[in-house]
Amino acid sequence: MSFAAPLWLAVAGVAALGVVLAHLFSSSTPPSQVLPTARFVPEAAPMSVLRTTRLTDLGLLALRVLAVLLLGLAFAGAHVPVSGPARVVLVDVSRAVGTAHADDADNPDGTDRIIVFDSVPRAVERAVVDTLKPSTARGSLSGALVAAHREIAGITAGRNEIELVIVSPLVREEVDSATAQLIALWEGPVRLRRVASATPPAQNAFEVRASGDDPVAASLSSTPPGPGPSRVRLVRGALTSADSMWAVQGNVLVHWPVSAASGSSASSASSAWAVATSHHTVVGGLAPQRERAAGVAIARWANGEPAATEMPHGAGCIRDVAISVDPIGDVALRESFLGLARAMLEPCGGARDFTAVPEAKLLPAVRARQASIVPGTGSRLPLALAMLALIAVGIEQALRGRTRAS
Amino acid sequence: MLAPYAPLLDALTGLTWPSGSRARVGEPGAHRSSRLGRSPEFTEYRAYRPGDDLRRLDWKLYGRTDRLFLRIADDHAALRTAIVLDASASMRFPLEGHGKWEHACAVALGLAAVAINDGDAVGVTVSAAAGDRALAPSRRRDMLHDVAQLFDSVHPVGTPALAESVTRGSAHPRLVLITDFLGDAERSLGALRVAAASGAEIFAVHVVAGEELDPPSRPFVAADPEQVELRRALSTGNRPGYDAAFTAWRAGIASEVHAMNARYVLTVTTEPVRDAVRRVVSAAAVVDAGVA
Repeated sequence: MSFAAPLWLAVAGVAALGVVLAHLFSSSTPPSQVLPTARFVPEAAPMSVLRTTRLTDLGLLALRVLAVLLLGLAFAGAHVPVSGPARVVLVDVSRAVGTAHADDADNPDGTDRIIVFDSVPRAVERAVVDTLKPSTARGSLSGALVAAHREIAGITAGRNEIELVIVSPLVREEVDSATAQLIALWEGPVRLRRVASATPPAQNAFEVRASGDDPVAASLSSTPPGPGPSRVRLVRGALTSADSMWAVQGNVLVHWPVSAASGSSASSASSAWAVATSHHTVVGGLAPQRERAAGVAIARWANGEPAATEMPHGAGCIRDVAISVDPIGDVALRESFLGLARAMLEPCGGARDFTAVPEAKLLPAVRARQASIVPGTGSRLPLALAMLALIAVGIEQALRGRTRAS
Repeated sequence: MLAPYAPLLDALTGLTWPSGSRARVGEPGAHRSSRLGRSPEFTEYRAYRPGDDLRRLDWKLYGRTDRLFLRIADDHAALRTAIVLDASASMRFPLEGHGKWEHACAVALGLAAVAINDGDAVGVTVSAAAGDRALAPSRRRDMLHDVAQLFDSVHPVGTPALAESVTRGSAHPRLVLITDFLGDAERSLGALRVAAASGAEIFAVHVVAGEELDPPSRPFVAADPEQVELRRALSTGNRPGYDAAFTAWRAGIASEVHAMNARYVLTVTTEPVRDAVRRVVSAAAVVDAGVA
């Protein structure tokens, strides 16, 4: 058995000794009885404390000492040591991974914990790793690190010997501001195994299907389409079945209909609205168009309501943009609006940023020891000990009351 | 009322309570009077002195001797007896069974019976916290019934003014005080001293409970029934001190009583009442013999 705070054991021992001494040197007030000749009793005799030469009320003494010791054990964080795995391996299977490298997940003795992750971490067996293919989801290294910390939360012995192995291309889109701190909190050694990242897709060629002097089409006319066949189709009118099939084949279909109310009404309401993507914000000249379709929000209004959503559709996806653009005015010509429109043309899942992050940023030479993550026992033994102590106190109270009554 | 005392009264039948000294002049009785009278029982002759009662002259002797002599004979008088009984709270101990109060009542009734058998008038005063409850002196036999009824109507409580009761009883030639002396002993003894100085025959019957002489051996807090604030723990550790103090106090009381030429009788509740009564009246006889 180990203890998180052994000092409490000493405190409990001193308290228990005090209880024993109290039983040795004092006793309860003797019963009162009429005696007319009480005046002849020497006055020096104590009234309520009678010195004894041996322990009294052994039952109460045992309960009190038991309660004190149990509380001491509870406060000391008594727990049975739990040993952990030799390694925790985080295997990246997100869209950023170019080549699968499962050799770091080899586990000869079967004691390693393997966690694969993209946007969601999950523990798997070694045999499963070889069957996994890079997903289309964006990876989150911080989420995987939290899962790794949780994996060893119940381990109390040899935490500083557990190695953390991260098998990942370590690209920028997977790293956030918490990643380096989560790595620093790992008590054992950390090894980064960088694998090749996927090749970021080239700028998509796009096509716009709009009629007349459409402001969105006019804005995008300044953006040169990329090389190769068109992979993005922006439709300002009604969708057809051919459009849907085109999205199923792995392309991006952007449905940005022209509002029926666009014109004077939109113009009059537009000044109060603003919409933002992850990198661009447009204020004025816009208005909510209609109820958005279901999906992941890729642009939001200032009040938090989604303005554009993305829904997977076959191998591709459909973006539904519910933003009414004022046809009168220069909103469509602003740089911020152009950024918003370009954001709608990004590949499914958003823009890729496969820029490699230097290992030095993730793994400082001197990792600061932080005590914020207490070696979690994961054990309920202290709580059980505290409950037992309370039960002992309750029994002691009942026994003492009965003794007084008698 | 007398039924509980019937065995006691039977046991005391024929017992007399002679006076320890000549009784003062009063109603005719069984005790020798302090004044020589004209009873048929001849005692001595005394030469005539002017002023003597001429009716007491022995004319036959004058005829033979031609000198005047008075025929002297002992006179007998009754001895009015006052019995003062302490009804303080301390007398109600132990709370269960034959306690000091029951013992004192039985002793008082027995002494009253003996005195009435001797032809003496007996008056009984119960000194209670609410005031004295008294029966006027009487030599009637049914007086005992009234005494028993009086005792039955009184419950010992509080701290009565026992000294005042003693003072009021000191007008009687014979005064019996039955108490545990745990009230204001100093004032009570002072009143007894005054009564003794006035020529009354004093009997101090000191009632002690067996539980007071031998308290329980287990530790307990002793509470004085007359002094609420007086609470002291009694255990085996301070038991010797208690015994010594109590014994010394009893000896002091006896010494005080003896110093005033009065009779002191200590009776414990465990003692048969008839024996206690016999010791009281016999103590008088012994003293009387010593004086003679």
